[in-house]
Amino acid sequence: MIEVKSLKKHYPISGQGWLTKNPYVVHAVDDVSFSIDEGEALGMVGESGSGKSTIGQMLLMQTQPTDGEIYFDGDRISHLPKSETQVLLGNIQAVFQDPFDSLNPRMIVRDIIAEPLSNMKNWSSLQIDERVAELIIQVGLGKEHLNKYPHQLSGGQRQRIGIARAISVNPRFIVLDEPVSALDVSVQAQVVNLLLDIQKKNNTTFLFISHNLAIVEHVCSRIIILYLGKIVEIIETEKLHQPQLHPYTQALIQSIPVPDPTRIKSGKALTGEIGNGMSIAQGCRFSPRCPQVQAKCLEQTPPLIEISPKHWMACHQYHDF
Amino acid sequence: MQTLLSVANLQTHFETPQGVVQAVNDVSFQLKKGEILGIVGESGSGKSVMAQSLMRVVPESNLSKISGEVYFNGIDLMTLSPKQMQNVRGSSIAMVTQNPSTSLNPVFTVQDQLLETLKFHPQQKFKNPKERMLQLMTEVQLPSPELIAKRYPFQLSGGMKQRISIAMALMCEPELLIADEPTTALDVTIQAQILELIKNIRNTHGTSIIFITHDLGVVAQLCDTVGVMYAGQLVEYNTVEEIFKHPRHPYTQALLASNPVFGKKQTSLKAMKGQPPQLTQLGAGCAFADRCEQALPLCHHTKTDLIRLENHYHHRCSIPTLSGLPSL
Repeated sequence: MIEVKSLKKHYPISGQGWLTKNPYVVHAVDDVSFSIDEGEALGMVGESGSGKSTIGQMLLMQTQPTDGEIYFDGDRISHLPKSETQVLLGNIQAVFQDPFDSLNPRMIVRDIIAEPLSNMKNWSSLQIDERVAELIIQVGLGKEHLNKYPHQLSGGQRQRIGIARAISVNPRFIVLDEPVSALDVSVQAQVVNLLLDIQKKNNTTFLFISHNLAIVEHVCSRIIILYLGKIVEIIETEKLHQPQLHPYTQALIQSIPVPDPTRIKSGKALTGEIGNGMSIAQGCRFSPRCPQVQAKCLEQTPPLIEISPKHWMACHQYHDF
Repeated sequence: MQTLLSVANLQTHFETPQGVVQAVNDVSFQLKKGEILGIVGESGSGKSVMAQSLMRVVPESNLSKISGEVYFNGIDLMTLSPKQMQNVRGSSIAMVTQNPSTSLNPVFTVQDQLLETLKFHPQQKFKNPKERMLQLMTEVQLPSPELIAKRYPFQLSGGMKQRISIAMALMCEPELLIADEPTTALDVTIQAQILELIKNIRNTHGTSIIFITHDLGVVAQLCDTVGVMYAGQLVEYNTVEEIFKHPRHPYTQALLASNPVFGKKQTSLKAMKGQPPQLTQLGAGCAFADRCEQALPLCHHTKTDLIRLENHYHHRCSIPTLSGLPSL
């Protein structure tokens, strides 16, 4: 349903003086290609600065890519004029990380949920009222919440409002950018279960962006792992426990603290920090931190290759097999 | 092992126009030398206010009431004058906060901020403050300390800033380090590095640490003992093995069940119903009763029982008494 082809997003940064001719460029997203099937929940995992949110914004047509194309049902949706993107937003919706910032503090819940409906569909106010009442129940809240302002609600309740707004127009595709990261564990589980229910019931396609592998593993069937704007691995969730993984994926898994005091992990998984996308090393972008680095990795960028069915990896080591 | 810190019936209440906020309610625990105590809880459970009350950095006014006993090396911190407390703070008890971007001063260099600690505590005699600073910066694994010392916080990454905060806390060789969510703002690979660093600090300096977090994985990997907080109360306090193997309080059990674990395929997460109560509207009964699956009718009205276990450990739940069951 979604097809992304060699997507790039570069942000130019002006140099020290205004006469500087060659501004620095941040390579936020570099040559990223993937596709999402209808009804699939695809996870996107990476550290801050890996470009995961930028990809989400480009799919939502909030940011224009520097290069590359995005297709929705075979139609190109990248580089469209703003008037045409409006229509598409009936099919593509978003849920954001921070339920405190993403809801308008001056609108009551009823108007927040109704806004996409009145923008997208030619519905009468009666039809909209009915739909809003149905939605608020669907996300596990009551009609008494409809006349409240966001500040009167808790974080979990606000995130439910954000979800109700996103599903109001029955979109076929939802980009979820860290939808549960700001929530407490006990509330997080409620919202994850709600999202899974919606996905199953409406057969909605999800792009689930998160830094938390445990949650992505729980929600998604396939995962893309990003490092500094490039895909290092695309893998089915169940294969995450096999040994043949990209060194970065291995390190991410190794870094997750296990809630079991009898299984103490010793030693840190990775040294160093993710770079800044501005001064990118030649060759593999992960090479400065990779524990298995070889001479070749410093010179050539490893291509993303399908090493077994539905398992793509960008690493020289595995390509040499 | 010798006891360093002994807290008894600590209580912090704030008066607000909406009523009295019972932020910390009757918290008691003990911390040995070299022990790492994890405090787990959700937002609003009072874990940060508890830590701030120990250090007496909660604004003292008519509107805030702190009571209880906090014995640190045999001295009750609650009876010290503000001046005496100032000397304890930073030199014997130090704190690392969650967000290094806001806890460091943006207009001073790293060096200025690190050396300032020693200026405020002249009783700490280090012959060469700068040498001490560089030695600590090396210890927290900052690359090329001399260079970084001259930089401003905005020139450093989040992980580096947190290492600076830790170095700053260690400047006067404190006996107790309070770390309030020090890894929450960091990426998982950097978090692993900082946790390793905190373990090393305990092992080499014998520092006792109170580690506040909401991440059960971090607690299991790092801590010796755990206190679970809910609505201002320490509902369960025990060794890390007992907490994870035999959680006694229904809240601890529910918390463990709702936490997604990597590599453990769960069809559906066991979510807790409802949400934490307003701290201004705590009734006479158990604060968790409305969300508790095991709650008995009486739980909503009667004060919870404190069930004492060996070594000062305890949990607060009335169900064993009300139903006549033994408390495990």
